[in-house]
Amino acid sequence: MLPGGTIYPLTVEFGKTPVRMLKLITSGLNIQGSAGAPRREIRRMLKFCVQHDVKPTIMTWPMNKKGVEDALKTLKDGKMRYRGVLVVE
Amino acid sequence: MDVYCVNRKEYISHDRDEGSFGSHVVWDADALFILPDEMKSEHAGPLMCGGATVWGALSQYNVKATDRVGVIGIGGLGHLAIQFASKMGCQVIAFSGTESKKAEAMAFGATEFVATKGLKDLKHIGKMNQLLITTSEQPDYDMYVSKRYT
Repeated sequence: MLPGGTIYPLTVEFGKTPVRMLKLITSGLNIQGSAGAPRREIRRMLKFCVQHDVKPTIMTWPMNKKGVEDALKTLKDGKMRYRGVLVVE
Repeated sequence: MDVYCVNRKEYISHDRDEGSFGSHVVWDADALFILPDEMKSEHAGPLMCGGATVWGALSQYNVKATDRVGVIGIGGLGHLAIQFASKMGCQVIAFSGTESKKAEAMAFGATEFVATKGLKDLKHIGKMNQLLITTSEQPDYDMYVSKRYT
């Protein structure tokens, strides 16, 4: 990391931070917590996605029992690319 | 900010009869988003959670177009983080365990790809201003924040 750089631990974690304190201090690093985004930023994100053609890569299944089971199997097998979406029939 | 409001009511832990599966529902318009016409509903879904999580980090803490942004993990969050940061003008360094997702990461807009399995340090990688951790398990932070690299 460059001095003054920032680390964003974005996934759910219940443990303590595993980053060594000394390097945070001597390089002026930040650990920045962040949960989701406020509504204003979500609206900006939607606009940005249209402007820059950003789309999540998705796999879809019908919203029924088999669809849920198949989607979860794909997830457990580590084969989801990259978000599974259940679509109402 | 609404996500940190002390009186917030969060999905899953509050209002469990919220009506997601209903044909109609009454909601406070302030808490809703009008989707752009160009956006499909199935694409909007993942943006509301994984997308918002990485957008929140990239949009609120002074990330600049000249920054080098590292993204650890190429999955639901990471594949969007790479696209956002790349389209914001940043150099994006994608970190993944193996080489298997290299082509996809580069297609999402990564400028560099690093397979971390077996690596002891990152001396050969240019240093970064921002580092987004999107893996379900915590990475080996010593590799990213160490005497040799930081």
